[in-house]
Amino acid sequence: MSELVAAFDVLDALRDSGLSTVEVYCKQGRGRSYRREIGSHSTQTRRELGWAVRAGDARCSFFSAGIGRPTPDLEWPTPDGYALVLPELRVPPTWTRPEGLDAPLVGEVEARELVAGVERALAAELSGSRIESARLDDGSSESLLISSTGIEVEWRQRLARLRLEASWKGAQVTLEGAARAVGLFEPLRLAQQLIDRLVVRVQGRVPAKDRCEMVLGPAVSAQLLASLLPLFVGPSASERCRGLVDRRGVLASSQLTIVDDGRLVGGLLASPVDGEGVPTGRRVLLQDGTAGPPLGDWRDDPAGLGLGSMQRPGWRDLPSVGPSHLYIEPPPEAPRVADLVAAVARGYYLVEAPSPASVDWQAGRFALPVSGFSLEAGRAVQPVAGAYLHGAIGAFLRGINAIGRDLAFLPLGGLLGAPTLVVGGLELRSSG
Amino acid sequence: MSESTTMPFSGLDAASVSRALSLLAERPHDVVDALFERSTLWEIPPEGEPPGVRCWRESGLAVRLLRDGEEWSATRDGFPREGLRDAIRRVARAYPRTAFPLPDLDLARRTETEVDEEMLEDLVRFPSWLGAALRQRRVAFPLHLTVRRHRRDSLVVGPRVVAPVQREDFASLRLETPWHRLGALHCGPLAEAVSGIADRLVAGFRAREAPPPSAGRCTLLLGSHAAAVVLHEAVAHALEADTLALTGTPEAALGIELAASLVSVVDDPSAAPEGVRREVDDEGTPVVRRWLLRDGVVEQLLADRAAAERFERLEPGAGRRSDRHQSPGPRSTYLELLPGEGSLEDLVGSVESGLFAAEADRGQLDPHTGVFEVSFPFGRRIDDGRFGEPVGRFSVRARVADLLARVVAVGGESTSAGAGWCAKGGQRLPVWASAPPILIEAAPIASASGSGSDRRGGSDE
Repeated sequence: MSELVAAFDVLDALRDSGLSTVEVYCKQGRGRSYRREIGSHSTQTRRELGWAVRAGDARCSFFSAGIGRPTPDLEWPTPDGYALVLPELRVPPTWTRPEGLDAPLVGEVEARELVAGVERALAAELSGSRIESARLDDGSSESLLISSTGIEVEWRQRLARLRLEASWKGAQVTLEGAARAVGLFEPLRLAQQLIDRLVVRVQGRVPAKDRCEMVLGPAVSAQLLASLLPLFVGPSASERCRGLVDRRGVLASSQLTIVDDGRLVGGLLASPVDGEGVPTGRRVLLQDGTAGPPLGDWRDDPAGLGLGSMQRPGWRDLPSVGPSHLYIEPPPEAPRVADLVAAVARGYYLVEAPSPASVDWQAGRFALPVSGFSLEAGRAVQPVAGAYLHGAIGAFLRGINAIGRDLAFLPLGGLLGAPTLVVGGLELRSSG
Repeated sequence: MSESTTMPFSGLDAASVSRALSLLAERPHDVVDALFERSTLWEIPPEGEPPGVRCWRESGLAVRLLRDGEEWSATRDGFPREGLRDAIRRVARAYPRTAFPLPDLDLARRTETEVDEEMLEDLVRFPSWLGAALRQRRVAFPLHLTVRRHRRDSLVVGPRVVAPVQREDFASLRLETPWHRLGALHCGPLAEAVSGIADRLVAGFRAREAPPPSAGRCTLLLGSHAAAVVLHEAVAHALEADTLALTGTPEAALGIELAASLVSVVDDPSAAPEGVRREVDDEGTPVVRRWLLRDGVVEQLLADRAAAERFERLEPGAGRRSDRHQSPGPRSTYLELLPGEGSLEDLVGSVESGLFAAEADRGQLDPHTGVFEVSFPFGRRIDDGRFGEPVGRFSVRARVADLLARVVAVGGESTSAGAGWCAKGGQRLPVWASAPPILIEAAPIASASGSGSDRRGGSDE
């Protein structure tokens, strides 16, 4: 990579100018996007090449970023403000490059055919339904990072994302997914997911206020997990968790384990290092119901510099703490979803959460828009739509009675994953 | 650091680019253009967030072909010699046959490093100026302040015309207190903005513990800032051709009585504040003074070239894109609510019982239902023609026509107000406005939902 030579030239030049702490990051990528709306299609190809430099010393620092390759003769900002501290070199464990990184990007014909395939399957099953809009983004990137502390690392990533909006009889639903390559999206399966959601939305009724057992499908559990991220990420996470423990000092169900793993095998965002070149790995944020150290900036806790958790989506972004693959881990002998549903005498099976939960951290409560089915004797009896799942955050965490094996990830600012959960102590209401 | 005198796109052989683009336009109604842009963003982060000074410099190009509702585009970062040729080939539907070579780029490379010392000094000193202004008002509270300066030069070249280079140059502020998030955009020296920002922060501080008003209908007086945000949601977004196309034919909206007869709203990018004034839009089309509402009736819509190609009665010139990676779409730039009569005090005096909102910090329009929601972070009661107690966060949720029909007075003093970031379809654009206060009768007040995709003047910058 010729960027490496350019990066070292810049690093040397800045150190020669008296700045002791320097980091040079370069990223190049290519991408293709296909977008379809009613009456219009657009196809875009992109090639990007950018860099970012952080440099300073114990008293001042600057950040500068631009396109192309960095060169030592650039005019740098005058360092100002705050000390810059960069991580020390830590040798990453052996890294096995994920498969599929070299797959070609989606072509225009393939993108159109994917959406048309979903639409055909949708129309065949559900007369009068249609795709309102589709967006497909496929991209690959190569990153390089060197620093004055000796870090020198390169890594690659590859991700395709799809967003579909479909309508039927006045109802509109959205489906989002991510895969290593566009070819892995299955039109029939996507259409079936849209159909399920549309039928529930159109035929579902708003239930009366009801408190009973709730079966939360992965899409609902992951959306709720995303809304509760401040419990597991950031400097105030531990304090928030402490505020939620009950009289017995219990925070969560003993079945609940939450993990963030930057090098998850098969994970779409898996990489050997984080956005500052610190090796990634598995971090247990909550185990058997007990909170562990949250994801945080190692500068606030230098002893915590073990596994990197600084995300850097692109060269324009400064590194910041965030999840990579953060998920509720199914227990080893987790039951099948069908068995979980069959065991519910009376309750609800909630399969979709169209938007994030609103969380009142002061009151410790949440409200999540949901749709699904009411259950009686383990069978779905009536679609439910336009409802809100209400509850105390602590009650949700402690009320998890069973966890399924169907772990699935959703692109919700990082990949958030959850399996089906069976939860008690929550309430379904008609308003948020 | 020195200020460069190099022109932003000096060295660009626009005639060759035009000739090359003409190869793409195979059919009479094909729209073809190339956008060249350079942008610089300077940021002074909030206290305690290293690194200290931040700078982003970008340049690049995008080539686009629009044909029968389909768009093909290719973007390149920077101006590599072969970048334009490559982009043209990727966009072309048939491999261009040409008797002449497609042009290489030979653009002056270093103009993006242009630094204005005075501008940077302005940014660096703003936090201390604001601190002093707050001390002068005898208040102190935790404040998270981000100051940014945005500069963007853009040039659109088509097969037949080369539009003039457009420059946007403005500052943005993001201020967060424990109870309030405030955003502001400003053209010109930041010193001019200090007093107004300090006053707005103090107003939020004083209302920090005020309870929200009870839900129901009441008379609502909107200050200039709040009025501009409401009009942005209820008029500008509602009259964008692509928004209207989601539910039918946009032209059907022309001639509809959308508001009370005393409401006239114009979008005129050429009248925007110096620094963001435009001669052409982001598609290179000359901008026009566009009467969105004349005496309450829809007269023109916001349209880009794609909409104008599809619908005969629409006029292009309102196409905007946040950068080369985004497609242009119809958006407002500088919205003016034409003034009526009377001062703010006169309007307050005419209200027996009601609410006053100086600020609105979020808004959202549902294009399918025509229902919009605007959230006000705080306000004041009006009792017997006088300002009363402060009130906490509340919102107005209504159908556009229902609310605008209830406007019973428009103030006579129009001020530059309500500038902020508007997010739609993944693009965040700065929007500008001037408006007088407006009085709305029986406005539906609700407790604020706290969500919204379009966050103007508020949370992001």
